[in-house]
Amino acid sequence: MAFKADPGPARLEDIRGKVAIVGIGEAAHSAASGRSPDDMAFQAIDAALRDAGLKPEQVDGLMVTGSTAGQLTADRFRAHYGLDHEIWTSGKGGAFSWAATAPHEAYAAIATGQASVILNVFAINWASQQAADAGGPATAHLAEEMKANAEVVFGFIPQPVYFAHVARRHFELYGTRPEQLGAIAVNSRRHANGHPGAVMREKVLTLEQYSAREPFIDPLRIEDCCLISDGAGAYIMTSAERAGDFPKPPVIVEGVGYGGAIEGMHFAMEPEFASTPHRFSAPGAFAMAGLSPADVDVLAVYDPFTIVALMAIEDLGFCPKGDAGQFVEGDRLAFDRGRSNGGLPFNTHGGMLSHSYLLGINHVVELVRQLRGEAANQVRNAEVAVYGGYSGVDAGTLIMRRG
Amino acid sequence: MPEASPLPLPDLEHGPIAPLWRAASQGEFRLPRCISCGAFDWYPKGECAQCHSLDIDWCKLSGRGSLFSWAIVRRALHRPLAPLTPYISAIIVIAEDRVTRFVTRLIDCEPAELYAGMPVEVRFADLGYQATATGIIAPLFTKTDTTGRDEV
Repeated sequence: MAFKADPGPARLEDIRGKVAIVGIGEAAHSAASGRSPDDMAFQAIDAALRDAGLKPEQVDGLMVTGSTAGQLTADRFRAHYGLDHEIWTSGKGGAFSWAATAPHEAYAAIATGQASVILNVFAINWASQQAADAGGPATAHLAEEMKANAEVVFGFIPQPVYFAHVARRHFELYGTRPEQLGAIAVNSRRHANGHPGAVMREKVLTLEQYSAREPFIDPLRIEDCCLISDGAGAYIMTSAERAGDFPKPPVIVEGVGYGGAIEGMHFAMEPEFASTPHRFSAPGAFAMAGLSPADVDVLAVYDPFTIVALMAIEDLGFCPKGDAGQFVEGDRLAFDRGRSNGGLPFNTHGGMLSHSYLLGINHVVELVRQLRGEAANQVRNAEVAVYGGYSGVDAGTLIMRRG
Repeated sequence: MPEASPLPLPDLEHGPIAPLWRAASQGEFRLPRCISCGAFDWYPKGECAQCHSLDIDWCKLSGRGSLFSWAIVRRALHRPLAPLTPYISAIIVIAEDRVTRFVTRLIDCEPAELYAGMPVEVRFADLGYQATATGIIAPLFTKTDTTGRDEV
């Protein structure tokens, strides 16, 4: 990500109860497939429009991740559907932390009359790119001049190496153990096994199998790292006042928070090395929503590595800092244990570890399904859902409620 | 399998930390430090974060430090690094300022003996030490003869 966030928590305007999510859609997710990002984006958009009962000409706002190459433009949207109307656009959407903060940005456009039906979409073909040696998640890091001269030359690249150091530091500070990271990997895989569309749907993973694997970037095993996928996801936002005009039960945005890492892309220099910027983004989101982590029925967290998921659980406030290792053991994170039984249903689609590497957009899609009661691994009576978005350099928190 | 590419190398002439690499070739470990207040400017921003002085110089250090975190890289996902595997990637903190971190590689250490706070010291060696010669001298680190656990 060639992107620099302001360090620390952002002050966001209160948008509690102002924005509704009224449509969701996904493309088929896969390993390297040769499909183009636009082809997959339009597959996800078509599904989202059907879901919301909307026609392409009714979309007058488009949000994408501006810093990720190959994302959809208003021109290509119009060309694809044979339209010529004006479309408000923003590059502060799509996936990562912006899949969390897009509703905040969207509300500014809705409130000022610039747009009324806003499509947030993200498509990625990093699996195909990596297979062709043409790019992938390490590209931006390799290109950064300081890293090239002070890190890459020593072998400190790419992300699995960074997060192996973070995991080791967490182990040393808090006594966290590899099997506790394994509990997250195993839980995510179990959820993927029960989820149509999950890339790892057919592949079982037990804690015994996890432990038997030799760490390839010690202390991380392959199973601690997310997939690399081709795919796309989309969701459609509108004013909460109009939420009743759509076929599916609406989901209302209750809180949004955002915060940046102190040292940006220089993870090795981050003062709180074994923490994430979720610690900056979460408090504002919960304050806006008037809720606390105890009120949350289902959580989805951007999970590039098990250690990032583990730290996010702490930094979002679901357990004290340093305690997440013990917290995630056993079936605590299973969709069918539930908050009333001391559980925390977590990444119920399998996350980036086992569903697909869609950089968070389909975490939000999954949570909307949970709040509608139409999820594959349905959490009973799910009313409040939280997405913890992340990009390495920043974090966004999105709190949603069944409308 | 295609032959592995050469190791990635620093820019000794115009890179942002060329003075560090030139110092290493002379057997010195230098980092940028504020002349006015002594705070380290690492990674270099060109202005002291403590006192905002622009008077910063690459100062010679003891080359001692403590292990902060590490990873045993058995498989290189960045293909040009493949000749180095297996290797110990490490972040150390320097003895002069225990919050200033330096990314490096540990050499002549066993994975099982490592712990946070382990005293380490610089060893100037070829960047491709024990793997492939690059002709570039790098500040790599190894354990010291003294034992103990530094607060890191």
